[in-house]
Amino acid sequence: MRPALLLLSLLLLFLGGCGRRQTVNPIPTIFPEATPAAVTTVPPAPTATPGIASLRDGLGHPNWQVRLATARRLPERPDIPAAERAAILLEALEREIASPGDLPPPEGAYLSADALLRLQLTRTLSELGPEAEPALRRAVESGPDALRARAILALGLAGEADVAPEVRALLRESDDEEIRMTAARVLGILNDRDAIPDLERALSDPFSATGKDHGGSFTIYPVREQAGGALEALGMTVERLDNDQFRLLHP
Amino acid sequence: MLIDDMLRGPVQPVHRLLPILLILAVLGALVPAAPPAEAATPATISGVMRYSVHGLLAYPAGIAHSLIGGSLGGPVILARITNALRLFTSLPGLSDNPSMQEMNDFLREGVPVDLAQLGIDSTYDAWLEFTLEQQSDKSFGLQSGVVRWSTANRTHFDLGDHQLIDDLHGSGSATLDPATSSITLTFNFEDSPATFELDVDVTHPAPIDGTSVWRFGQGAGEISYEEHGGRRVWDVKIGGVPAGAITGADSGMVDEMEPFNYPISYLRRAPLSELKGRETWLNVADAQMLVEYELFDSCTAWIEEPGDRMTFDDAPPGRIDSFGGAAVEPQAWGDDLEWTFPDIKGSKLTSDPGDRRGRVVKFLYEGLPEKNSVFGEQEIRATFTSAREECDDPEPQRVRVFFSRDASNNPDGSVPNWFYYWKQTRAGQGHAAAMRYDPGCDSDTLGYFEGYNDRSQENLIYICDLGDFNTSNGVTGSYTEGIDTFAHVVLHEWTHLENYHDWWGASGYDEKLDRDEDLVRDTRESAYGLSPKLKDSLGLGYRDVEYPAFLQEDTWPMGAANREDWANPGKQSGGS
Repeated sequence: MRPALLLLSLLLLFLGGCGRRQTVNPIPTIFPEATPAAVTTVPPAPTATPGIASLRDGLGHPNWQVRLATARRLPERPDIPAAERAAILLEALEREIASPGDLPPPEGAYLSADALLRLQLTRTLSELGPEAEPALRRAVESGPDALRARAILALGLAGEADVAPEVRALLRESDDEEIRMTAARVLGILNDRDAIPDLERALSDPFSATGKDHGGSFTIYPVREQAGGALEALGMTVERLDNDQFRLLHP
Repeated sequence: MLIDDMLRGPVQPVHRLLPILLILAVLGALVPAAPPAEAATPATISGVMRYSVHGLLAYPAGIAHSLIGGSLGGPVILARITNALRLFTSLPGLSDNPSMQEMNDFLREGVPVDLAQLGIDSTYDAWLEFTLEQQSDKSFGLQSGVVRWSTANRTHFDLGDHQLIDDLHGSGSATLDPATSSITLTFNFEDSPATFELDVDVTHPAPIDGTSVWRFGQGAGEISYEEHGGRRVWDVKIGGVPAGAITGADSGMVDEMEPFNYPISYLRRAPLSELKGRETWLNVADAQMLVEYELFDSCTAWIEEPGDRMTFDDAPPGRIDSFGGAAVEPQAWGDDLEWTFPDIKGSKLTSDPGDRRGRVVKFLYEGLPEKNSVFGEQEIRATFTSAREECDDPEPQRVRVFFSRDASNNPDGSVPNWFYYWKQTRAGQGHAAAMRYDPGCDSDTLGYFEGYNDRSQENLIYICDLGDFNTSNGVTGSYTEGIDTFAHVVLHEWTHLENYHDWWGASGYDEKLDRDEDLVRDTRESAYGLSPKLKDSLGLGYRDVEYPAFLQEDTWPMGAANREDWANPGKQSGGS
């Protein structure tokens, strides 16, 4: 009995399984809708990596800290083309410029949360690599003034030396203290010795801010600070005096 | 009612399947099969039945009961009374050999009400558990079983000249002997829908103890007996004096009796959907009858309540007021369950009922524990006691116990629960003793270190209200939620504390050694990539003192304390 059953099973297996392989692939044509249905039964990953749409949402989140966190994750997402990341970051930066949240400085900071966020977005743009450069240059060419300035700074932070003249102009002429302080820093990064006169003048920049941290309240002159740092990076010697005064000591 | 509704639930799998199983079992017996290697074990069905009588004839004993109702035992008792009455030849209205009619007439004489309408306080309750074995294609017969019974007759009539007092009771259990008892279950699959017939015809010995007294003639006479273990001793008094002393006759008659065999008889024919049923009716003597029965293939139970999580409420002292509820099939055995609720050290547990017995038992924990580790995974058990042979205990219910994150009903009482318990976890990073909670911080301040301004504070860090428990690192942008935010704040402030001691040593902060006034000692700035000439060396909006702390925050392994987070909301309660 058992050998007979075994033989019968093998025969059925052959007819039902092996034999079908020789037919002309009927399943895709007969049940073309089967595949998508099967896919829908697969549960999504519990912690899905956010796609570009989710990242765009994160950059528009009402909470500025979520916007900051989303932006700072973008350099770590090589799976998304840098051009796309640059595009959504520039969109976000434009929104932040156009509609600041009037947020106070967060704990320990001397700049408002809006300003910190704009600084971080600009830094992040500089960290996306060469593939992001075309998007930044387009913004330089055709973007609104405030966005254009930050695109220039991002290129400078990324080491693109050709923007140095425009950065110097920003340091000299911008009435936006965030831009001036970053421009000063960028000139040091670019090792732009032509900027020394502008940087020396920036050591007397009038912009000051106050903050409060573990040592209590403090005053800072951010443009002077960054100009002093840039001059030191250029090999100059800067002396820090009392009351946030700086003096360039020529070598 | 609400609890019952909740426990009843939408699905009762065993009962829905049982008719099908039965059909398959019966039909399976009809299918011709090859001779088995061994004799097949007959199919069995289990059952339980509650049989209850309340009223006249509930138990046929006692003078009052028998005289008023007449019963199976009534004639015996009345015969004795008749003999006893012969001693009262002077009583009017009775002949020397009074008949039952005379006796009843005598009783009714001068009674202004119909005795048959009087309430009889007599009850009999029986609980049967039995197993039926397949005997033919379509019928099952009694294989084994047990009956547990109790009865009480506390009838008391005061009718002026007549006082009738029965005070008898008994209880016990007996195995069901197929030789003297029968329970059969027969299926009729030709009916549409298919039906079954349950026929119960059971008797069991039912001895009782107690006394029964009849006083009459305004105390002139008293007839009584005392019964114990099937031995009944009669006593007759005339004017309070034993009758024997007056008449010379023997008034102390004794009956040595076989225990009364109580009959339980019930017949039910119904569709298979009613394998669990209940009936009440008045019997021919107007006694209230109740029968509940349930037939099942196996005894099953599962815990339905509480769910898989319990959270202490917000108010002091913190309570979990809930209940354990089980679905039991047969449901009647739910009363046999005994619950075990976990010990939550530091919390007082009470239950209702106190013996934790029943299908539904309320429990209450009062007071939050001292240790965070006491929260979390616990197990609630329910086990059968008397029915443990027949029923498998339900699977223990795993529950997770949480505290309310934002309440302050912890043993300290002055700090929020999240602070009290999270500092005990890895998120506290071993700094619980040096950690203080400050409820008065600015709204955007999550924590602070005060050592730079006040040397008495140089070994403490302060944690503030964490708001919505979400934040991002102002320098790196890393975003944290819940207990991870707490861990980041602790690590940030602790870094300040460590840096302070590292940079400034025993002598404390010295502004002469900090040219740029960024709180970092000039000689240590380069070790962090900072400049001793700049307050904000990185140009990101903070003084340099903040950067080591911000960067250190990101060394916290995100999620490292998740498994210790028993806050609700929290990492393990479905929140963040």
